[in-house]
Amino acid sequence: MKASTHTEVYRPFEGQLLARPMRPAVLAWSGIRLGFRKKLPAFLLFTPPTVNALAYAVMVYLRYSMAEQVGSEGGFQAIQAQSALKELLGDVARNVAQFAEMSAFFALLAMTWFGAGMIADDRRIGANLLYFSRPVTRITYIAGKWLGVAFFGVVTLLAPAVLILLTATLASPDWSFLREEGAVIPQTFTYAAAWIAVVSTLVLGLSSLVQRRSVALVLSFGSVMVLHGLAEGAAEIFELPQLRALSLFNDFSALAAGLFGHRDLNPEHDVLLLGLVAWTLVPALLLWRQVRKMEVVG
Amino acid sequence: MSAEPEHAPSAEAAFLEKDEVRPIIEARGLGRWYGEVVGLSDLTVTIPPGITGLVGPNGAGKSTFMKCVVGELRPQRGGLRVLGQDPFANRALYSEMGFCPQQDALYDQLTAHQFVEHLLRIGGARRGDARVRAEEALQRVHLEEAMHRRCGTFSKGMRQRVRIAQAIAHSPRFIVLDEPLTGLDPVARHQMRTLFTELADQGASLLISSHVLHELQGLTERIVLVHRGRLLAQGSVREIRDLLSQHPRRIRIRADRVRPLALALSTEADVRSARWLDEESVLFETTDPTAFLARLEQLVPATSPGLQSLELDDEDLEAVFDYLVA
Repeated sequence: MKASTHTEVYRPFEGQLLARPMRPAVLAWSGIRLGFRKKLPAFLLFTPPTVNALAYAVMVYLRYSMAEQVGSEGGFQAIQAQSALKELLGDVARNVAQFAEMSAFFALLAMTWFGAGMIADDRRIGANLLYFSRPVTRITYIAGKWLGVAFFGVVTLLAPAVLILLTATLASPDWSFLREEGAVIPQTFTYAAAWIAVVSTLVLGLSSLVQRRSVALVLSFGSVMVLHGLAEGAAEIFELPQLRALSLFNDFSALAAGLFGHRDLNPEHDVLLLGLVAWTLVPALLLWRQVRKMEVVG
Repeated sequence: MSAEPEHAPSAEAAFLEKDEVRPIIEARGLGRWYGEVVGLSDLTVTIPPGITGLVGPNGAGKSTFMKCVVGELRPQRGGLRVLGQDPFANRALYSEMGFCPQQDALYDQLTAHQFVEHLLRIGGARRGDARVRAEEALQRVHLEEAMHRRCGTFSKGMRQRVRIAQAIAHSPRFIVLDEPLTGLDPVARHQMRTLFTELADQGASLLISSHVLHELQGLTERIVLVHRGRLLAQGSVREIRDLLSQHPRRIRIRADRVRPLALALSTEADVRSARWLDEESVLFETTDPTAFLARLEQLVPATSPGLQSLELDDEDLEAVFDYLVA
């Protein structure tokens, strides 16, 4: 019945198109939706950072609640116990910095897993033909895909960090965390944002080079891990510490040291930060060039 | 007495009238190479509104031309206007066009409805509008029962229908369909042909490519033939055939006693060849079919061949194409 009456159902489009449609958000949403279609990888990739975040949140909570309890007893012994607790659990800024550096690895895993196919799959199936025959610009396309990958970084790195910061804020007596260690909030956001930005660009840049998600996955994760190994090895063999800048982990370690100040600055700090710029620029240029070819073959 | 007409032409009528005059596609000397391989070579063609068939063998340059039309491939030579505008980086124009590529282009993990809705939203439709229009488009391609199934579970024909649905969902003025009937069973093929005719009746223009020539017969009389990146011929099948007056036309005769008739017909100068197909059939090639048929009319009573059938093969598009590319 439906088949025979389909012309009656149809009506020419009379609605109005949005003047400023959020095309990148629509593109990002489809990427996120595709990512969550498979439940097991999502479970496996999101569980470790979640557990990690909960552990740190509990540690931060204990630090404040126990310190408050001990402190309320008064006396010299209480002060000693408070310092011991602080020594044992560390200050919140250090906890957050440790957490951020540790979770960055989980974020890398999740972002490469979910992001590797974002452009590679489009190239393989030819979806770019559908996108670019619509009012989608190169920038819109890149922004949409980039937001899609970045989302997985936000879920695995930034959101858990926010949970810890929130716990510290609410658990600290008289908002002491905000007053005394509040600087750690922008520092954490900066660190997480930088990690998410660099890794998203890297994953998309490499994804745009190939037509298979699996190859893009190996390229993305492999490039980070192999270059880390090479950088460490080469720096030792040639006694050139500057070569450590080839490692993304070393570069971010330098950034963390500069931001959080929880350990001494590496003497090669500036070179390492330059390495970070290279990790961003090279994939960004690749991405731009490849998407340009996908948009209009000149 | 007022000189004014009883009904002044409406703005829409004026627009339509203007639109009829203005070609949908104007290509002048288009050239495009892939390294040493020629995609398009000095292709000059003007396509008016309505349904136009773009015909050519594999590698003729049909897809290259279509990608140029939708602005995804920049020709290295020549000029191109689509709906009167330059198609490259022309976002406003893309809103008025629908494109069904030959490539698969579907996300297996999304349902057909989610996929079409997603593309509509990228085109700028509101969420509610996109949902309704995706449903309508999928109904038009007869996927109402399967629209909430994942594309990964679809057959080749169903995937083709989804691609067609996304091309028509936003009611474009001009629809470019690259081999849209490939992979469809005869029933689906008929349904899609009906759909294309409906779309044209509603005012849309369609450029449909195919290398299976008979697919386009009955759907449109207007054919653009391309071969090796060049325009070979343009017009109706008959017009194209008339352009080839120097080329012999084929006439197939089937009769109980065909031999004496064939011998009598072969003696005339206009008959280029006669080929026996079997004991009862013979295929003639003649440069003057009118004279040939007049002679046949005279010979039939005299030879009493027991004539069973008479077919003019050249009315078939396939034959025209064979002549042209041979």
